[in-house]
This record gives sequence, C-alpha cells and structure tokens, in this order.
Amino acid sequence: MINTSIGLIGVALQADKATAASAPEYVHGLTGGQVFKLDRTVESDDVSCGVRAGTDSHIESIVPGADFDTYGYADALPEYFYGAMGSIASAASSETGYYDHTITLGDLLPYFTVWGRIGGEYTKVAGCKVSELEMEFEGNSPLQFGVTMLGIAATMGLASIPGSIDPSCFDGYYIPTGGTFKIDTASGTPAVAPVTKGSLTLDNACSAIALAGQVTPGDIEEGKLTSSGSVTVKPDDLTLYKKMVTGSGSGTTPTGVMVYGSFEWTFTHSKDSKCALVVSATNVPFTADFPEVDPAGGAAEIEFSFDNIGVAEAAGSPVTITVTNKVEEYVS
Amino acid sequence: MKATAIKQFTATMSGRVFRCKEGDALEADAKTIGQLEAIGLVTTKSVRKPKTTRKAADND
Repeated sequence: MINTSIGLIGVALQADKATAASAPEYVHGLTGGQVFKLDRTVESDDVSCGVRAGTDSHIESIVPGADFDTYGYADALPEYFYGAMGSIASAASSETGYYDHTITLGDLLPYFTVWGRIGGEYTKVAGCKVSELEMEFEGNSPLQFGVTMLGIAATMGLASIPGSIDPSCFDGYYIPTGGTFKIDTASGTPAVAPVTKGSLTLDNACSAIALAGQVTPGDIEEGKLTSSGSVTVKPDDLTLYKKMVTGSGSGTTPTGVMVYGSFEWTFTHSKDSKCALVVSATNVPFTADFPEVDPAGGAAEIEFSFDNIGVAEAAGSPVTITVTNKVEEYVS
Repeated sequence: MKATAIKQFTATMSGRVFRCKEGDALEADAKTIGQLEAIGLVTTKSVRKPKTTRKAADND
C-alpha cells in the first residue's frame, strides 16, 4: 500500500543548471497534488504492416516535475516566490533575528532540486524551474499556494529524502487573520477596503526544450511573466467601480483612457507574530462586472480581476512580495 | 551604473549575486540598480562616509 496521507516535499536552490543540490534546504508538508510528476508522451507508430492493427509505439518525450498545493510556510515560501519571479534581496528586519526578503521581477529564473515522498516512496527531480505559482485567500482560511515545477532529470526509488531537516509544517503558516487588505482602482496608493478574498497567479509559461536523441528535456526555458488574479470586495458604494471605469470616484462617464489601480495584501503568521507576508502591485489594469440584482438580497460583491500586470518603469516589477522570517538569506 | 548600499543585504538580480555591507559601492546595469533602489537597499545619490570610516581611510 502507498499511504497517500504521508506526503512530504523538500526543495533546494541549485548552484547552476547542471549541479543538482545534494539535500533539501527546506522540507514541508502539502495539502494535495503530486510531489513527482512525469508528463510522458507516448505516440503510436503509424505503420501498415499487412495486418489490421498497429505494431509499435514510441516515447516522444518525458518531462519531469512536481505539481502540488501547500500552505505558506515562512521559511520555504520565499524560495518559491524567488523561483517564480527571478530576483530576491535580503536584509535585516527591524526585529532582531528576523529578515526581510523582497522578491521582484528578474530576467532569469533559478533552478531547484525537488524531493518528494508519498507513503514509503521517495523521488527526486533536478533542474526544476517554477512554471506557475498560484496563491489564494478567502476569509480566515490559511493562505493556499499551488506550485507547478518543470524539471530536467527524474529519479525514483530513493531510500529517503537526504538530510535531517525538520519539516516546516510544525512551525505555522501565513494566514489572512489580522492582516490588512488594500485596493484602489485608480491610483498606485491602495486604501483599506472590505476585501473578502483574492488570488494571484504568477505564470512563467515554462517549456521543456526537447533535444534529438534525448527523451528528457535538455533545459527548461521560461517565457514572459504573466501576473493575473483578482480581488473581491464587498463595498459600501460604487466608488471603486466608478474609479476604475471613469478614473475618478466622482466620475459619471466611462473613459477610454486606461486607468491603473493597485493592491496590497498583508498576511500574518499563525505562530509567529513577527513573521509577515506582503504582496503588492501598483500598476494593475483592473476590470470588473457591474453588480447583479439578486431578489434574495444581501450585499453586492464586486470581483476586480486583472490579467497581466505590466511595469511602469524599466526597473519596475509587476508584483512585489516581501516575506519576513528568520532565514538570513536564500542565495548560496 | 554605480550605487552605494544603504544597509547590509544579499541579493540575486538577474543571476548575479550581490553581497553588500552598509556603505559598500556596487556597480551594475541601470535596471538592477533601479530595482535595488526601489526596495530601499541602495542609493545612487552620493553618500557621505561615516566619520570613523573617513578617519580610518585617511590613516591608510
């Protein structure tokens, strides 16, 4: 039996593409998904050979990776955000023994080695890049993350996950409770609003590079970063909607000029009040549907969604993520 | 483009690692310096060296 309730994932930053890490830097639990994934393409050979049936098949490609859901563990989370965005800067926080890690858009994505466990089976995928990172929150439920990684080399049948790091799941995770949620639909300065839920997806459109004579990828290459998601608000009035459509809270007619908004979400930590996670964007092309009438009543909710946050200046970042935790740095 | 570290930090920007202490000078492309400046780790304005540093430098 493979006990699916026993799952664990380990991750470590690689020095370069060719050098797999020897042991995880962080090990943590997950809420679902696959710690080891093989996208294996099998094609039937289209040959007529004197019988009314095919003959052979061949393996066209194998792309290893991992695709899992997890909570926001304070130590491991910046590693995944760095993997999705490409730049990280770490400096001492105002609290002694804590550090602020600011993650922004970078030109190159780093490589990771990922170890997985399901039941008594252990796996490893080296040369991984973060293809997609999703986060979502609603109410007071723990912040949920979805991580999709594509890799180069897969290994099964390991005896264990190397090293002796305690899983992060025993140290708490990021939560919305007590956090601050801000949005403005027509400026780069968001204000506190009655936000009910939100989501953000960082999609690097990674693809595996196939080489002749090699079924596993020669490399994983990233594409353009697309930052999409939504912020749902239960507003007292239509000011946010009017700002988005007209450019002003007192506007009366829609404008053809694009109006950019902003959001800032601050999350707290379930066990350490000095840990924090701040996700912000200041150049957000929001769109939303006008609220619908409901005979049953209740307060209207407006979902402000965005498909592709751009940057307003050369050194800008579509999204900026700041994680405060006890890890000094992520760059080896 | 040149800048001066405002505080001690470690950063990886576009695959290049920067390890700086307060007052260190660093040189990188304008985009990287702009990113570090935007998050308050470096400044491109001239920074007056702390008195003790200047004194030590004078003695060298």
